[in-house]
Amino acid sequence: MLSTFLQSIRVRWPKRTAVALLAALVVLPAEAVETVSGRFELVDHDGRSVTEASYHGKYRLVFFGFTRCPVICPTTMFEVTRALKMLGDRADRVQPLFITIDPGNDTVDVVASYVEHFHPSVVGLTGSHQQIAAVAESFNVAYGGVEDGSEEIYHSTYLYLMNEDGSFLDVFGYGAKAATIIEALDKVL
Amino acid sequence: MPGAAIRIIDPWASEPAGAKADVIAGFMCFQNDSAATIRIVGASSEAVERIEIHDITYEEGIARMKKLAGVDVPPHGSKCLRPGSTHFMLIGIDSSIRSGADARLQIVTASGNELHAVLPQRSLINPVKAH
Repeated sequence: MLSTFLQSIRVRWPKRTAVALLAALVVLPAEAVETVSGRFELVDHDGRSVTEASYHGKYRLVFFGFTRCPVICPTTMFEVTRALKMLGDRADRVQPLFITIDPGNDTVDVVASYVEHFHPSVVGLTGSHQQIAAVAESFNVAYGGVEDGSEEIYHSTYLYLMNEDGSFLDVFGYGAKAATIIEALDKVL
Repeated sequence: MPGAAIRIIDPWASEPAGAKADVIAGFMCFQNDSAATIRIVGASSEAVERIEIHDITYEEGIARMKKLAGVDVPPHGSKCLRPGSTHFMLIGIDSSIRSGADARLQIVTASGNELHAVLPQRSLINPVKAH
Protein backbone atom coordinates (compact mmCIF):
# COMPACT_ATOMS: atom_id res chain seq x y z
CA MET A 1 0.00 0.00 0.00
CA LEU A 2 1.28 3.45 -0.79
CA SER A 3 0.99 4.74 2.79
CA THR A 4 3.08 1.85 4.16
CA PHE A 5 5.66 2.46 1.47
CA LEU A 6 5.82 6.18 2.29
CA GLN A 7 6.11 5.39 6.01
CA SER A 8 8.99 3.04 5.36
CA ILE A 9 10.74 5.80 3.39
CA ARG A 10 10.45 8.17 6.35
CA VAL A 11 11.84 5.60 8.71
CA ARG A 12 14.67 4.15 6.67
CA TRP A 13 15.80 6.64 4.04
CA PRO A 14 16.82 10.29 4.30
CA LYS A 15 14.04 12.52 3.07
CA ARG A 16 16.16 13.96 0.31
CA THR A 17 16.77 10.60 -1.33
CA ALA A 18 13.10 9.77 -1.17
CA VAL A 19 12.13 13.06 -2.79
CA ALA A 20 14.72 12.51 -5.50
CA LEU A 21 13.52 9.01 -6.20
CA LEU A 22 9.90 10.04 -6.44
CA ALA A 23 10.73 13.03 -8.62
CA ALA A 24 12.88 10.91 -10.89
CA LEU A 25 10.19 8.27 -11.29
CA VAL A 26 7.76 10.93 -12.35
CA VAL A 27 10.10 12.83 -14.60
CA LEU A 28 12.53 10.48 -16.26
CA PRO A 29 12.83 6.91 -17.44
CA ALA A 30 14.69 4.78 -14.90
CA GLU A 31 17.79 4.10 -17.01
CA ALA A 32 18.51 7.78 -17.54
CA VAL A 33 18.38 8.44 -13.79
CA GLU A 34 20.56 5.52 -12.68
CA THR A 35 23.45 6.48 -14.88
CA VAL A 36 23.81 10.16 -13.94
CA SER A 37 27.01 10.26 -11.87
CA GLY A 38 27.58 14.00 -12.28
CA ARG A 39 31.37 13.70 -12.32
CA PHE A 40 33.48 15.91 -14.55
CA GLU A 41 36.86 17.48 -15.24
CA LEU A 42 36.48 20.68 -17.24
CA VAL A 43 37.74 24.25 -17.69
CA ASP A 44 35.69 27.17 -16.42
CA HIS A 45 35.23 30.45 -18.27
CA ASP A 46 38.18 31.98 -16.38
CA GLY A 47 40.41 29.24 -17.74
CA ARG A 48 40.68 27.30 -14.47
CA SER A 49 40.52 23.51 -14.28
CA VAL A 50 37.52 22.41 -12.23
CA THR A 51 35.79 19.21 -11.18
CA GLU A 52 32.44 18.56 -9.56
CA ALA A 53 34.22 18.92 -6.21
CA SER A 54 35.04 22.55 -7.02
CA TYR A 55 31.44 23.46 -6.23
CA HIS A 56 31.19 21.43 -3.04
CA GLY A 57 28.55 22.77 -0.70
CA LYS A 58 26.34 24.21 -3.43
CA TYR A 59 23.43 22.70 -5.28
CA ARG A 60 24.01 22.86 -9.02
CA LEU A 61 21.72 23.56 -11.96
CA VAL A 62 23.45 22.04 -14.97
CA PHE A 63 22.52 22.62 -18.58
CA PHE A 64 24.24 21.32 -21.71
CA GLY A 65 24.14 23.47 -24.84
CA PHE A 66 26.30 25.49 -27.21
CA THR A 67 26.67 29.24 -27.68
CA ARG A 68 25.47 29.18 -31.29
CA CYS A 69 22.21 27.54 -30.23
CA PRO A 70 19.62 30.16 -31.18
CA VAL A 71 16.67 29.48 -28.88
CA ILE A 72 16.65 26.44 -26.61
CA CYS A 73 19.90 27.26 -24.79
CA PRO A 74 19.36 30.97 -24.17
CA THR A 75 15.74 30.47 -23.12
CA THR A 76 16.69 27.76 -20.63
CA MET A 77 19.50 29.90 -19.22
CA PHE A 78 17.10 32.87 -18.96
CA GLU A 79 14.71 30.71 -16.96
CA VAL A 80 17.56 29.61 -14.67
CA THR A 81 18.43 33.29 -14.28
CA ARG A 82 14.83 34.06 -13.30
CA ALA A 83 14.83 31.24 -10.76
CA LEU A 84 18.03 32.53 -9.17
CA LYS A 85 16.62 36.05 -8.92
CA MET A 86 13.48 34.68 -7.27
CA LEU A 87 15.65 32.85 -4.71
CA GLY A 88 17.10 36.10 -3.38
CA ASP A 89 19.70 35.39 -0.68
CA ARG A 90 19.28 31.66 -1.05
CA ALA A 91 20.77 31.90 -4.55
CA ASP A 92 24.19 31.80 -2.84
CA ARG A 93 23.62 28.11 -2.22
CA VAL A 94 23.01 27.32 -5.90
CA GLN A 95 25.64 27.11 -8.62
CA PRO A 96 24.32 27.29 -12.18
CA LEU A 97 26.58 25.62 -14.76
CA PHE A 98 26.43 25.87 -18.54
CA ILE A 99 28.42 23.08 -20.18
CA THR A 100 29.14 23.33 -23.87
CA ILE A 101 28.87 20.38 -26.21
CA ASP A 102 30.72 22.40 -28.87
CA PRO A 103 34.22 22.91 -27.39
CA GLY A 104 35.69 23.54 -30.82
CA ASN A 105 33.81 26.82 -31.18
CA ASP A 106 33.07 27.50 -27.54
CA THR A 107 36.51 28.28 -26.20
CA VAL A 108 37.04 29.86 -22.79
CA ASP A 109 36.67 33.39 -24.22
CA VAL A 110 33.53 32.60 -26.17
CA VAL A 111 31.90 30.92 -23.17
CA ALA A 112 32.95 33.79 -20.87
CA SER A 113 31.26 36.29 -23.14
CA TYR A 114 28.17 34.10 -23.47
CA VAL A 115 27.47 33.66 -19.76
CA GLU A 116 27.63 37.43 -19.20
CA HIS A 117 24.20 37.46 -20.76
CA PHE A 118 22.71 35.54 -17.82
CA HIS A 119 22.74 35.61 -14.02
CA PRO A 120 26.16 36.74 -12.68
CA SER A 121 26.64 33.45 -10.84
CA VAL A 122 26.43 31.36 -14.02
CA VAL A 123 29.69 29.56 -14.74
CA GLY A 124 30.40 28.36 -18.26
CA LEU A 125 32.39 25.18 -18.66
CA THR A 126 34.32 23.94 -21.66
CA GLY A 127 37.28 21.63 -22.15
CA SER A 128 38.93 19.24 -24.55
CA HIS A 129 36.77 17.04 -26.76
CA GLN A 130 37.54 14.10 -24.46
CA GLN A 131 36.57 16.04 -21.35
CA ILE A 132 33.29 17.07 -22.95
CA ALA A 133 32.60 13.51 -24.10
CA ALA A 134 33.30 12.32 -20.55
CA VAL A 135 30.98 14.80 -18.85
CA ALA A 136 28.24 14.04 -21.39
CA GLU A 137 28.61 10.43 -20.40
CA SER A 138 28.43 11.28 -16.67
CA PHE A 139 25.14 13.02 -17.23
CA ASN A 140 23.83 10.60 -19.83
CA VAL A 141 23.63 13.44 -22.34
CA ALA A 142 23.26 12.70 -26.03
CA TYR A 143 24.83 15.20 -28.44
CA GLY A 144 26.36 15.32 -31.85
CA GLY A 145 26.70 16.90 -35.23
CA VAL A 146 28.41 20.05 -34.11
CA GLU A 147 31.71 19.63 -35.86
CA ASP A 148 31.44 16.87 -38.38
CA GLY A 149 29.88 19.18 -40.94
CA SER A 150 26.68 17.22 -40.70
CA GLU A 151 23.50 19.05 -41.44
CA GLU A 152 22.10 18.27 -38.03
CA ILE A 153 23.11 19.30 -34.52
CA TYR A 154 21.41 17.64 -31.59
CA HIS A 155 21.66 17.65 -27.80
CA SER A 156 19.70 16.60 -24.74
CA THR A 157 17.86 19.54 -23.29
CA TYR A 158 17.36 18.41 -19.71
CA LEU A 159 18.22 20.77 -16.86
CA TYR A 160 19.86 18.81 -14.05
CA LEU A 161 19.64 19.62 -10.34
CA MET A 162 22.59 18.14 -8.48
CA ASN A 163 23.25 17.81 -4.74
CA GLU A 164 25.90 19.75 -2.77
CA ASP A 165 28.27 16.83 -3.26
CA GLY A 166 27.67 16.76 -7.01
CA SER A 167 25.44 13.68 -7.07
CA PHE A 168 22.15 13.57 -8.94
CA LEU A 169 19.04 14.98 -7.28
CA ASP A 170 16.42 15.96 -9.85
CA VAL A 171 15.91 16.82 -13.50
CA PHE A 172 13.62 19.11 -15.53
CA GLY A 173 12.54 18.83 -19.13
CA TYR A 174 13.02 21.67 -21.59
CA GLY A 175 10.63 24.53 -20.97
CA ALA A 176 10.47 24.08 -17.21
CA LYS A 177 9.53 27.40 -15.66
CA ALA A 178 11.41 29.15 -12.85
CA ALA A 179 8.54 28.28 -10.46
CA THR A 180 9.10 24.55 -11.05
CA ILE A 181 12.82 24.91 -10.42
CA ILE A 182 12.16 26.91 -7.24
CA GLU A 183 9.71 24.28 -6.03
CA ALA A 184 12.41 21.60 -6.25
CA LEU A 185 14.99 23.84 -4.58
CA ASP A 186 12.57 24.79 -1.79
CA LYS A 187 12.58 21.17 -0.67
CA VAL A 188 16.32 21.20 0.00
CA LEU A 189 17.37 24.77 0.66
CA MET B 1 4.74 41.40 -60.61
CA PRO B 2 5.49 37.87 -59.32
CA GLY B 3 7.48 39.14 -56.32
CA ALA B 4 4.40 40.91 -54.96
CA ALA B 5 2.56 37.63 -54.49
CA ILE B 6 4.40 37.00 -51.25
CA ARG B 7 4.38 39.29 -48.22
CA ILE B 8 6.58 39.29 -45.16
CA ILE B 9 4.87 39.90 -41.84
CA ASP B 10 6.49 40.91 -38.55
CA PRO B 11 10.14 40.11 -39.21
CA TRP B 12 12.46 40.15 -36.18
CA ALA B 13 15.73 38.70 -34.95
CA SER B 14 16.85 37.40 -31.59
CA GLU B 15 19.39 39.47 -29.64
CA PRO B 16 22.94 38.17 -29.73
CA ALA B 17 23.86 36.35 -26.52
CA GLY B 18 27.10 37.91 -25.41
CA ALA B 19 29.62 40.37 -26.82
CA LYS B 20 31.36 37.69 -28.86
CA ALA B 21 28.17 36.11 -30.17
CA ASP B 22 28.46 34.86 -33.71
CA VAL B 23 24.92 33.81 -34.44
CA ILE B 24 21.37 35.09 -34.14
CA ALA B 25 18.08 33.70 -35.41
CA GLY B 26 15.66 35.42 -37.82
CA PHE B 27 11.89 35.02 -37.67
CA MET B 28 8.95 36.18 -39.79
CA CYS B 29 5.77 35.00 -41.44
CA PHE B 30 5.45 34.62 -45.20
CA GLN B 31 2.00 35.18 -46.65
CA ASN B 32 1.51 33.71 -50.13
CA ASP B 33 -1.29 35.40 -52.08
CA SER B 34 -0.75 33.38 -55.26
CA ALA B 35 -2.21 30.07 -56.41
CA ALA B 36 1.17 28.34 -56.52
CA THR B 37 3.53 27.16 -53.79
CA ILE B 38 6.41 29.56 -53.27
CA ARG B 39 9.66 28.06 -52.02
CA ILE B 40 12.05 30.18 -49.98
CA VAL B 41 15.55 28.89 -50.70
CA GLY B 42 17.90 31.27 -48.99
CA ALA B 43 18.83 34.71 -47.79
CA SER B 44 21.81 37.01 -47.60
CA SER B 45 22.83 40.20 -45.87
CA GLU B 46 25.83 42.48 -46.07
CA ALA B 47 26.15 42.34 -42.30
CA VAL B 48 26.13 38.54 -42.09
CA GLU B 49 28.61 36.02 -43.43
CA ARG B 50 25.99 33.46 -44.36
CA ILE B 51 22.36 32.71 -43.68
CA GLU B 52 20.90 29.22 -43.49
CA ILE B 53 17.42 27.88 -42.98
CA HIS B 54 17.14 25.59 -39.95
CA ASP B 55 14.42 23.50 -38.45
CA ILE B 56 14.16 22.41 -34.83
CA THR B 57 12.43 19.23 -33.76
CA TYR B 58 12.16 18.12 -30.20
CA GLU B 59 11.52 14.56 -29.09
CA GLU B 60 12.12 12.66 -25.88
CA GLY B 61 14.32 15.32 -24.38
CA ILE B 62 16.56 15.76 -27.43
CA ALA B 63 16.46 18.86 -29.59
CA ARG B 64 17.63 18.50 -33.17
CA MET B 65 18.56 21.42 -35.36
CA LYS B 66 18.67 20.54 -39.04
CA LYS B 67 19.66 22.60 -42.06
CA LEU B 68 16.96 22.81 -44.72
CA ALA B 69 17.37 23.40 -48.44
CA GLY B 70 14.21 25.46 -48.52
CA VAL B 71 10.88 26.19 -46.96
CA ASP B 72 7.53 26.01 -48.79
CA VAL B 73 4.81 28.61 -48.44
CA PRO B 74 1.51 27.03 -49.53
CA PRO B 75 -0.79 28.69 -52.11
CA HIS B 76 -3.10 31.24 -50.45
CA GLY B 77 -1.46 30.29 -47.19
CA SER B 78 1.33 31.22 -44.83
CA LYS B 79 4.47 29.79 -43.31
CA CYS B 80 5.88 31.27 -40.13
CA LEU B 81 9.45 31.06 -38.92
CA ARG B 82 9.26 31.02 -35.11
CA PRO B 83 11.49 30.36 -32.09
CA GLY B 84 11.59 26.64 -31.45
CA SER B 85 10.65 25.89 -35.05
CA THR B 86 11.90 26.70 -38.57
CA HIS B 87 14.02 29.84 -38.61
CA PHE B 88 16.82 31.64 -40.41
CA MET B 89 20.24 31.24 -38.80
CA LEU B 90 22.33 34.35 -39.32
CA ILE B 91 25.88 33.07 -38.98
CA GLY B 92 28.86 35.39 -38.67
CA ILE B 93 27.14 38.62 -37.67
CA ASP B 94 29.14 41.84 -37.89
CA SER B 95 29.77 44.35 -35.11
CA SER B 96 26.81 46.53 -36.12
CA ILE B 97 24.39 43.69 -35.49
CA ARG B 98 26.23 42.75 -32.31
CA SER B 99 25.59 46.31 -31.18
CA GLY B 100 21.88 46.02 -31.86
CA ALA B 101 21.43 47.19 -35.46
CA ASP B 102 18.56 45.84 -37.55
CA ALA B 103 19.51 43.06 -39.95
CA ARG B 104 18.60 43.85 -43.55
CA LEU B 105 17.98 40.68 -45.52
CA GLN B 106 17.53 39.79 -49.17
CA ILE B 107 15.45 36.63 -49.25
CA VAL B 108 15.43 34.50 -52.38
CA THR B 109 12.71 32.25 -53.76
CA ALA B 110 13.18 29.19 -55.96
CA SER B 111 11.91 31.11 -58.97
CA GLY B 112 14.59 33.73 -58.45
CA ASN B 113 12.51 36.51 -56.91
CA GLU B 114 14.06 38.61 -54.19
CA LEU B 115 12.26 39.86 -51.10
CA HIS B 116 13.56 42.44 -48.69
CA ALA B 117 13.10 42.35 -44.95
CA VAL B 118 14.35 44.43 -42.06
CA LEU B 119 14.72 42.52 -38.80
CA PRO B 120 14.84 44.56 -35.57
CA GLN B 121 16.19 42.72 -32.53
CA ARG B 122 13.92 41.53 -29.77
CA SER B 123 14.50 39.62 -26.57
CA LEU B 124 13.65 35.93 -26.87
CA ILE B 125 11.92 35.85 -23.51
CA ASN B 126 9.55 38.70 -24.16
CA PRO B 127 9.47 39.43 -27.87
CA VAL B 128 7.13 42.43 -27.83
CA LYS B 129 5.98 43.67 -31.20
CA ALA B 130 6.98 47.27 -31.81
CA HIS B 131 3.86 48.53 -33.56
